Amino acid sequence: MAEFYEDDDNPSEEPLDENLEPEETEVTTPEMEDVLAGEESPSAAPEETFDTEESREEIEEEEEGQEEMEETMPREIVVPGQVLGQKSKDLLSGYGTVTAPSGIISLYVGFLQQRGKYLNVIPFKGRYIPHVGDKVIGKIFDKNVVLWKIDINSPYISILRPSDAGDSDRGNRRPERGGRGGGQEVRRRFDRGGKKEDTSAMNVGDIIIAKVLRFDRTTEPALTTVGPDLGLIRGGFLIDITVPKIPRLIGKSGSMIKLLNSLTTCKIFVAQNGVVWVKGRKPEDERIIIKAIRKIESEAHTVGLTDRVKEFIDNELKNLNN
Amino acid sequence: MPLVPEMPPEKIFREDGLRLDGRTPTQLRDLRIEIGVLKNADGSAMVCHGKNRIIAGAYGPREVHPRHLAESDTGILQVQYRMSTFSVPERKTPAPGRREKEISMVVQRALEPVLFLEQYPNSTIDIFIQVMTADGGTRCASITAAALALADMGIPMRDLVTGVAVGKINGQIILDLADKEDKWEEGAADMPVAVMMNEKKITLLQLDGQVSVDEMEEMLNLALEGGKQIYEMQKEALRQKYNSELVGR
Repeated sequence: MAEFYEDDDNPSEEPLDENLEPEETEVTTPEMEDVLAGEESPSAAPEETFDTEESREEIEEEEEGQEEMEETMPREIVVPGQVLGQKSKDLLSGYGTVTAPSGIISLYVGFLQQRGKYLNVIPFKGRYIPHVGDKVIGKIFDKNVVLWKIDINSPYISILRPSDAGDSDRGNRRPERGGRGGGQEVRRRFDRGGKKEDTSAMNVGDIIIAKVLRFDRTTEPALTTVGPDLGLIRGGFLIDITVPKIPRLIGKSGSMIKLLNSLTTCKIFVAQNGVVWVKGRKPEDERIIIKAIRKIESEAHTVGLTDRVKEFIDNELKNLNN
Repeated sequence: MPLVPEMPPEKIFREDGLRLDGRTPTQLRDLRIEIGVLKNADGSAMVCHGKNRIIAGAYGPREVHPRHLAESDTGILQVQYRMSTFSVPERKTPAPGRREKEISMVVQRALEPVLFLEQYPNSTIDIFIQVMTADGGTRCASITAAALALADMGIPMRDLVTGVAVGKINGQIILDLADKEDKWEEGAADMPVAVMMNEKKITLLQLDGQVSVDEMEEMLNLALEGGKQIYEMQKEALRQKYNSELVGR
């Protein structure tokens, strides 16, 4: 069976990711910088890893005007095995599709979308598969002397070793954010004469933001908490959303997340594994943001969502003030 | 002994030539499909095929327990087919029997070809199939339901898998056997088929009874014909579920 699909480009790394994820964004206030950094990096990471895709991205930038038009068109729901078209020079199999003898077929239940000459299928549901460089939010569910085990909502249990949690860049520590940076925790213990290479710094049940350091078919994902934004988090809310809808929550060039940040006092961190961390100065704001995120999730397929979310939040804020 | 013993019917065809439930020889039973019936499963489907009621739930990909079952180069598919104690006229013991293990295995093998399991090494996809009411052809309905549960879960699939049974009674070839037809013994054969309809690839073929080569060919063609109808309903059910979910909001 495998030979039928030989000419298929690896579907999991196809253009969808870069299409939907934001490009580098300009940050307006230093306060937002921390939060936004989390959203910028997912797009940056795949670019680093697959440099061959640069040229493709250029092509897509040229076609931006066309994309805008396509967004307004009603999208078709397709199911696995459905023939979407015949492969030709102008029509290639993109994300979520595969080339079979009968033509380009869909692999998922999802929306059909054409970007340039690529036919993509955006699935409605899916599970998070780790990629190197992704920032994820996970929960420590087990530890021993040499490593923590972290549940990151994926098929695989990921591990964090103290050596990957140690000695963060101290300049990035921010006491008002709970002194985040796992490095700090470990470092402090080390300064007090404790052993650096042990796992006493974090406990079972702690929630951390981490980056996927290594992952391939043969080893379980290894995480690191060294770096800006990474480390223990305290307070706020965690929300689960379906993984395929994350790009919509971030918005084009991070527009949606900028909007959510600018309208309320909340800081929002969207992790690639479908977990969103919301922390606000006022609980009312947090509640509004959670509602808004739920709205985005359920209306992810619709057009003009950013405007409607803005309206929604404005209304909620008005109700709050009355 | 059951309080009311089930008597075999005297005749398997009515006088007007139709079957006991009023179907023509090449007619399917009523089929109703619901997607997403289990809240806590990653994907689920219920198939009501004639009097069959079958619920399938799919989970994963997730960690394999026990660990030694994990394959380092590919994911695995684990299927559990279970009949409820109340699903048949006489109480069925809840312990999994030989038949259930066999059906679990054939369903697993019927579904494996559509999945890209090699993308999920060291992990498992679990499917649990519970038969609430049984009326013949549960393994085919189970495959239909399990394929939909997998599609609902959102993992890549080459195609849906459709299960359909064909058989022979008194030399007459019929589609989609009900329980009573299944148990008929005169000149009878029973052939469950699972097929990837898009490319007409057969992933399950079992045969119980004796048929000639010509009859076999006729039965296969009939199975593909019936499978096509079920396949269309499967696709429609998936589209409808998401259509209503998305438009409803």
